[in-house]
Amino acid sequence: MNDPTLLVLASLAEGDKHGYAILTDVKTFADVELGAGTLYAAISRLENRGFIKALPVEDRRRPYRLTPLGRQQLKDQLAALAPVMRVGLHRLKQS
Amino acid sequence: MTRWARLAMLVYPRRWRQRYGMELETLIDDSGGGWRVVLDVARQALLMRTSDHLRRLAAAPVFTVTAVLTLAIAIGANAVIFSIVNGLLLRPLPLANPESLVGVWHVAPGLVSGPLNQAAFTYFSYRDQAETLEDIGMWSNTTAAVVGRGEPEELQGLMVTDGTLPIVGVRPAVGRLFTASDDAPGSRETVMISHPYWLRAFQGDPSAIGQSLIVDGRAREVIGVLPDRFRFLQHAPDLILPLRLNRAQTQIGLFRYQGVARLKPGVTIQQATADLARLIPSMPDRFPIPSGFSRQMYEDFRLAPEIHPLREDLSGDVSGMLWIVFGTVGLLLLVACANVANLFLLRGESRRREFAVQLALGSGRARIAGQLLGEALTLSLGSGLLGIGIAHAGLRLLQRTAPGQIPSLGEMSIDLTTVAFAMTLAALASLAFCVLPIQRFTRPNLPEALKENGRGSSDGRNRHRTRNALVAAQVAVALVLLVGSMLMVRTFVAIRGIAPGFVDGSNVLTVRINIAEAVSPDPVTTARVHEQLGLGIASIPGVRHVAQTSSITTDGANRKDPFFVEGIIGEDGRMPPVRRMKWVAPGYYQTMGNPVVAGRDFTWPDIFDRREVAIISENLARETFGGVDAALGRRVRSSPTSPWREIVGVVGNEYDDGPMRPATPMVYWPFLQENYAPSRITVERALVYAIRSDRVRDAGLLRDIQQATWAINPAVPLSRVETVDDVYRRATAQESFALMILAIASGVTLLLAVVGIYGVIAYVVAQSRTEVGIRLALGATGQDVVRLFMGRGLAVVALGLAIGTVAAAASASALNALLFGVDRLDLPVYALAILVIAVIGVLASWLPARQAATTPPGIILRG
Repeated sequence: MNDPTLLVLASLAEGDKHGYAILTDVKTFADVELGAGTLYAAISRLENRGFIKALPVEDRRRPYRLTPLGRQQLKDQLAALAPVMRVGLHRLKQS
Repeated sequence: MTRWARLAMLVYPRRWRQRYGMELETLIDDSGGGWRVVLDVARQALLMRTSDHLRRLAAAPVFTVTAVLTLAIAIGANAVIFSIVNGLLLRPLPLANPESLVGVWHVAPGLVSGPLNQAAFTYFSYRDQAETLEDIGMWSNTTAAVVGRGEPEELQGLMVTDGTLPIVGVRPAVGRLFTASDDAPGSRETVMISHPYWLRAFQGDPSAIGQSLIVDGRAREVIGVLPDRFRFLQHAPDLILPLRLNRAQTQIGLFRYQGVARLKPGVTIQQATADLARLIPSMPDRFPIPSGFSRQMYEDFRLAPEIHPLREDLSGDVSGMLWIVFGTVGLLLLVACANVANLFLLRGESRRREFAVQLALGSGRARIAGQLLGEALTLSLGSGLLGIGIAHAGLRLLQRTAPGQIPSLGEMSIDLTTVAFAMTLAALASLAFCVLPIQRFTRPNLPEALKENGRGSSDGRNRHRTRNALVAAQVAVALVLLVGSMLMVRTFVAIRGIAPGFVDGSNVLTVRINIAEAVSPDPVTTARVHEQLGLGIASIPGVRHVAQTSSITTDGANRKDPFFVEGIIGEDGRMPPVRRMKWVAPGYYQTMGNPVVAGRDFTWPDIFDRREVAIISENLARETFGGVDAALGRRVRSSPTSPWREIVGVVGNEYDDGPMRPATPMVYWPFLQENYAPSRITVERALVYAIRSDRVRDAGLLRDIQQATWAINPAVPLSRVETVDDVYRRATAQESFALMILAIASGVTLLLAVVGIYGVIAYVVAQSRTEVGIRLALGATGQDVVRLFMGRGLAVVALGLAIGTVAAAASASALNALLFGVDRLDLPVYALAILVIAVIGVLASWLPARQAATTPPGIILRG
């Protein structure tokens, strides 16, 4: 659950954010501390694939926005994870 | 920290940096930097930068694995040797201000060849009068028996003058260091103890200070504990004792201590040498010359100071050997680079079309060069990391298998300096092996060359010229290494063939027994105790012979005195040469297996009647008297005032300085003597017992020896229990280590070079298959083709052999110090080495040529 690209997509699902805002958001909702280098590696991958798009720079910080394709990608990934989580939690409860 | 992060950002590809650089920089500022951020940025940048290269390298696994392994072995070998060279020769000593610490020695060409150490009279003169030294100290190794704390034991000790420890900057863990009063004769006797001994004998109790310790039968007050892990150069003593030299009784002579000094700030070694040299002529005015010697003799010594950085006293003779080994592994890296360059060229050939297309489409030459350099860097940095792992394992292996062969080897590690060295080496290697491919595949005419497909074009000829140069270079290096390896093997064989002064040393156990003056003050009684101990040990079942000596062959003892010969040497008032001397008991030669070649051994009546007799070695007899029989009955002595002593026996030679040096001319005296020193009876109190037995490997033997000894005197400790072979192995350890490393490094390099030669020649022939096909189609026979290609191959090999022969002869002179029993220009060695490489060259040319010649031309031309 700490795939940086998934975490970035999940963060942007709430709204447009620049790098620092994504880092603090991810730390809050997933308790994962992404490094600056890791974050921008994920951002460049997501942008290349068209899952997010860059907005105009504001005071040396560039916000990013989730594209419809990115939104679908996030849905697909979370849907794929859901049964794993469900079964895992169920089995833990049983054991 | 953000500065480091910004530096790490430079590793990102330029385009990525242009797009995301500003944002990333702002984020780093916002998040406050820190090492984690720096490392994360560096890791991601490296991943991004190398991912393309890694992908390409992963697509060619055979090429990549071969190249990485080849380079990693070479880098690993270089890193191991560098870590030793750095630890021993380059890194400053772990002492306060090590650059101003010097070892103070002497030379006296009129007395002895090689270095001479310090004497009390030089020490007092320098300490009183030298203007360039902050202070000077003297020290010597010793052993001392301690009783009253468990079983009696003999401990390693260090005797020092009071200035010695402060000079090297030692601070006690508990208590204090020696003062001038501790070092003055007649004062209360004191001792310092090591940290481990403090823990062992006093359970680390600070109240040990002030307690009494019985050392060599005398009570000494413990005044201080040395710091944990204290080492004095390569020594780790348990006891430190003050030397307590008596200035009033000091005479000229007795060079038996080592000197250490600290130079005043700004003073050079040359200035200090001149300063000390100025004091030497007046020393006989300050200290008396022993009776029988004259001022003329003193002047004949030609005594002069020899000062060098203290580090050299630590590294000793090993430095020359280490540089040779370092040079050899350097060659290994060069050959590895040549092989990898060749692999790159071969791989580049298969990508010529790809490069030509890129150039034709307007791609810059710099871009292709960058691509090749990037791949080379990725490959070699990966090899560097693997090489560091190999170096770590290699150093651990050396530490386990050869702990005593290099000083301080156990304390060395693959530290940051070595890692930096390995990675720099890797980066340089990548530059070295990608120069040729870059030069070849970024030329502007590559697309045209591609059209011609290399058939007889100038491009094809250039390509062959490059590879021919590579082959000639590899042949030359291979020959140098093969000659070096073969000279090493000949040295091994010659060393093994020597009888060093004993036979079957693994069955001779040695035990040192010291009977302190406080335990037995009378010399004759002490000699009797040694006789009784010998008889007691001889009665143990399984013991065949026992005898005592002051020193076992190659144990490092180096007691020398002048050697006067009646009617021949030293009677003209001039100083005779000094010779090594040993003091032995009857039966020593029989126990060691060294033959008495003329006359007889000493007898116990010789000892106890204090007869004036001597035995000399065969080489000394031949040198002095022209033969062994001629020596019998002649008379010798070690000072002009002692009585003449008759030579009653001549024994086989002893290689006391190791098998690689000439046998030591040796004089043996009875271990109890009268008038050796002026007007008194002297006995050797500390004797090594040589015990020949078939039970040496049986732990019960040592117990029996202990019981036999303590039955006679329970206060006598046994120490330095080891076999004669152990002593000999230790003495020859550095040479063995150098020979082993050189042999391994040369062997690996030779293998790489041979593989390289074969690979390149075979490739050149295989690349010319089209030419072979055309020649065969035009009517040439298979034999013609084989002859043609072998001729071409052998011409290149012959050129390499010619260069290699000259280079081997030149480089063998560097090995000279390590060679024994073989000349560095030994003709059979060179002939055999040339033959071996030539045969490899013939096979490398013949096999692929024959394969091409036996394939039908149609198939060749189609394929």
